[in-house]
Amino acid sequence: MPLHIPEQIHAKSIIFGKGDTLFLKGEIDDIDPGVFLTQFFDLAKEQMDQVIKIDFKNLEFLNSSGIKCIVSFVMDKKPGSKIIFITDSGKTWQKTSLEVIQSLDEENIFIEE
Amino acid sequence: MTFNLNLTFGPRWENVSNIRNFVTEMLSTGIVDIIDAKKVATASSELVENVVKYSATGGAMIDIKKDPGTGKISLTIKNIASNDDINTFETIFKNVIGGDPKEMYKKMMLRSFNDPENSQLGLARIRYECQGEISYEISQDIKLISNVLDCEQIKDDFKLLSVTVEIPVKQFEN
Repeated sequence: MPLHIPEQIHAKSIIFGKGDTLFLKGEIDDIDPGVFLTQFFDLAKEQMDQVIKIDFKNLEFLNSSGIKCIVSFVMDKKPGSKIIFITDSGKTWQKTSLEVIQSLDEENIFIEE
Repeated sequence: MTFNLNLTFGPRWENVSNIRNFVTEMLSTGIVDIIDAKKVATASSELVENVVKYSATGGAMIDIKKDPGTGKISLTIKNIASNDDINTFETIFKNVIGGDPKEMYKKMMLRSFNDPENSQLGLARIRYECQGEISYEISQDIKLISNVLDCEQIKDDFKLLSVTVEIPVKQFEN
């Protein structure tokens, strides 16, 4: 079943789900980004059974509170499901932070460019 | 080329991104390359977030220096903090400062999941992602930032916290 999450603009970020991918764009630096990020991750979990792709390529910045949300999302995923991060290795935060998140569960989290 | 940037700012949330973007743009105009500029900006963003969350009163200061030949940028953030917040900072600092930076970042990620109210990701991120070497000083000289308050009245309960991050940068030919 394809993912369908209508585009929402939140502060300096745009988030939407299309096809098999959740797209995050812009900058996320809210004091508590979990307030809005969690709803998208929950929808993605509900709509995608086996594989969830998250496209970070156009997300220029994510603060450490946002990274905490991603950690929570991957640690709470459905048993047996896979998560694929689509990244831009030219962005240092993606190359470093997402790589460390991937190391939390190397058998079920993958990084693609 | 010597570079020195000193800003005093109000500890408001909108200043987190203002400072991050300003630091990126300022440093990438011939001081360091864009990758290093973003590393410094990320470290400044994480530290300014902490200042906004925990600054007790008054303003805060950010100081960024690059001396020729050092191959490093020095980023210092100063703010007035309560004794309780300084104790919290010292505890976090001791928790994240040791060991391999990548392993510590991973450990703090797991901790943020198991104990979300006690996240210590910011400093761990600075160590690994920004390759930052973090140190701090505490002093009584709160007049350095706030001259509008009755310093005599508050000096027993508040101190000046200065957090410095040394970040290696590539030699950059302008």
